[in-house]
Amino acid sequence: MTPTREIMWNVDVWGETGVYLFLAVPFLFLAFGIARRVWMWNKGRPENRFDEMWSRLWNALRDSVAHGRIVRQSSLFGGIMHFLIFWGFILLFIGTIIVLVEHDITVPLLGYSFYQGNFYLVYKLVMNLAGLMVIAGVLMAFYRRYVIQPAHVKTAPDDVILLTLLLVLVVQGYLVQALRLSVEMDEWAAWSFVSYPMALVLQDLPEGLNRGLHTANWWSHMLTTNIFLGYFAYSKMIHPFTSFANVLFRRTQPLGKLERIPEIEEAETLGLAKIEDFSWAQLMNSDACMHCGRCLEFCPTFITNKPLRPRDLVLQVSGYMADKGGIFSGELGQNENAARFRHGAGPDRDLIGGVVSEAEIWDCTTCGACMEHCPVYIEHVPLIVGMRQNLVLEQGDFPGEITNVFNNLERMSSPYQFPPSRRADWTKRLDQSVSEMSEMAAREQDVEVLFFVGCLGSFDSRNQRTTLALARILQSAGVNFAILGKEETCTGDPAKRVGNEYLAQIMAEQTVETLNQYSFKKIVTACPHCFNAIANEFPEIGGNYDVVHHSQLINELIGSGKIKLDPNSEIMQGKVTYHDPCYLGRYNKEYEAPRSVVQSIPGSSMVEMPRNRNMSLCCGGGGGRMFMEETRGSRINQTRVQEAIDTGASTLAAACPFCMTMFEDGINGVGAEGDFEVKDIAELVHESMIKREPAGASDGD
Amino acid sequence: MTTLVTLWNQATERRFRSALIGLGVILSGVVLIAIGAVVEWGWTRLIGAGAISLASVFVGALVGWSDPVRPRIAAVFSSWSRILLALLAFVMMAPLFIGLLALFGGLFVALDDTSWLSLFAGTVITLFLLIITLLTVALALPLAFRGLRKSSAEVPSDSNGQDES
Repeated sequence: MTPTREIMWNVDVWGETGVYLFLAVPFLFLAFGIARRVWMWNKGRPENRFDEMWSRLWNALRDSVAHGRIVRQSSLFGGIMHFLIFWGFILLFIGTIIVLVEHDITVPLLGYSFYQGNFYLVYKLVMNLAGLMVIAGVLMAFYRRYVIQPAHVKTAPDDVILLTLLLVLVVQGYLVQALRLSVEMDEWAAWSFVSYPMALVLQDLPEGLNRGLHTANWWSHMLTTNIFLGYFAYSKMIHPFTSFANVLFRRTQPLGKLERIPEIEEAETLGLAKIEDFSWAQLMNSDACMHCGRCLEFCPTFITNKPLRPRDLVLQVSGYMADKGGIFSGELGQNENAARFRHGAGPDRDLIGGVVSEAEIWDCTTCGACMEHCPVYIEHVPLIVGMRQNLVLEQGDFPGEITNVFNNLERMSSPYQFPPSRRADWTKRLDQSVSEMSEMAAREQDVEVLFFVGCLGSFDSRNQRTTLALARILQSAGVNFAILGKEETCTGDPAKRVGNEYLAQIMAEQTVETLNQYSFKKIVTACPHCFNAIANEFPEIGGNYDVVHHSQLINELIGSGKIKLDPNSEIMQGKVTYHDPCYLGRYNKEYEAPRSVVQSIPGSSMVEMPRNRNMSLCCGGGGGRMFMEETRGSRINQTRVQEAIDTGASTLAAACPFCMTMFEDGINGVGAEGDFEVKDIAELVHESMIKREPAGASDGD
Repeated sequence: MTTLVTLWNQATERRFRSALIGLGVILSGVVLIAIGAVVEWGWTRLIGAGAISLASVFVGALVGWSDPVRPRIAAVFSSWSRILLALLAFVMMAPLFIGLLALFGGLFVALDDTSWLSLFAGTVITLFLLIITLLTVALALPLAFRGLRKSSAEVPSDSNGQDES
């Protein structure tokens, strides 16, 4: 006999009709839910995200369907769990389609049956395996939620209902199969390796009872399938659609680039204050959240107990949109799901203040940990900065400490109250002078490297030590470099991240204008914030430069032998740990050069903090936070310093002036001054260098 | 696609008419399948099921792509939600648990020619499925009722400015 089975075995005419009739309800609900969401996205501003569609599609398949971004080292358990549920479910879905094609298309229309023989046997084997995959994944999910209970995972009814529905669907499938086998007991029944042993236990029960139980469970299975489909669009199960769409239409710009407000002078509204201010992609963003909480795992505000939790913020916006769109807000789907935290508050709320609190908006350090770890590329930082823009530019509502920063940027072209004429004062402490670009241009001398010092490196006394160290390294290595001196202006990074886009644009344009006056091969900067702005944001306004971070240049100089480190140097006698600056690491993917520099220092023994590289914890100084008071939760810089101290290291190597300032303060805060110190990698290298006479690095007095 | 967009952008009255036509198609699909099932015409299933699926997607999308009429629907759902949940949970779970519990009956009447190993494997699998289903349902149901209790209390009574009529 050829292995196969009768489709619709033990199902009467009511069942054969009803199964199709009842399809209408879940399909209607599903289509309504998806259409309403797309309708809401359509309320947003237009934005072109349809470029390079093939590349987008490939990346979406790789990251979502193939789980490239879901199964990650930082979330291995959750990733494998999701893989098992997703692929188990997909296989079962494909299995259902195969049965449908056989029963409704090939047999009635073509008289051809493929659901038999070896195909059928393999089909049965794979379907039984797929069911086990789903069960394993669901059990892992329950274990994670109820036993492991990671801090970033919150369990809402929706989560448990969906997992239960998935489990019930699979168990019903096995039972229906076992009940059929208990009556039919095919020769090839053992290929259904889960249901077959169950059928062996049931086979000696009266046939009528088994048939009755089969009918009841078949109907119940159909009902569960329909309920699952109908509930799909109103629960987080919508995420296979919304998340895939989000990954497909994700921003392909560099992660560190914040979009400019085009023609800002003519813009009718500035920033985000209502649904219509978002772009359609931003609205889709908030609907793509699957509540996994990975954005929280390395979020400094979540870790230090501040009101801002990126996942909740996104869900609040999503809930607000659901309220506006009337997607059954307040019902089970939205209440404990998308609008979990502000559920049922209605559509007549202001976005800022009513949906998202100002504390949440201002707490963000823009470190990008949320975006880095979000499996579906939700862009939290642009969302937060967008709301800051509205507060700053439309409402004039921002923390008082920022007022001075804005004033100084406007008047002094830096966040500090120093006149531009004092930008190069630090050079007076060098044995050898440093040329300014204007002088070099006047003398028609070539400059290889433009050292973009940055505001902190120019004016802040602690960071001046880094600047001096770097200048001495460059001089010692014989690098032909010069600085902008009094012509240097802030890149606009702090203003931009704080939401003062207008001021940021002025600063950026001014800097580009200055840089474009001169000829040089590359820019080096010790500030990752300047580095990020120059590398990622300046090209859009006509500033195209080859820019390197000082860690990269120093690493290159050590590698090429232009800098010799003293093997007998006693500078480093203890362990050293390195902190990844967010704007160098996560935003610009430079993790190795600074480590290579630290490891090359004689006598140093490097230890990693548990949170390192793309999992690094922010110092708390980005996004303008360095200039603001930290009044909520515990202090981020102290948390990070404590992590560094816990490694047993005596020195914390930094590579960012913002981090330097925050850590100096953090060391004092935890009372570790004297026992523990923070140094920039340039300082570490300079202190352990074999000093030699400069080789004409800089001329002039 | 252009036709659909045009349709979606049409006046409420025409959209309503289109939705009625969609519902008519769904009904026709049902009748076609029923006739096919009685007279054993296989091809009617495909056409009927296709008509039902496409028309329901069309009607759902049509209603979804229009101004919200939320308050009344939400209120109806809210007032019936707990009874509905209890009913659905019973219909979904009762046959499953009875089916799984039939295992014990099966063990009692098992004939001597069934190997003990097979019975053991079947018992273990069935018991495992029974236990995990019981546990998850026991976790999910109270949470679902709690969620509904909350939502019933928090459904906004005001409309969002869109008049259903």
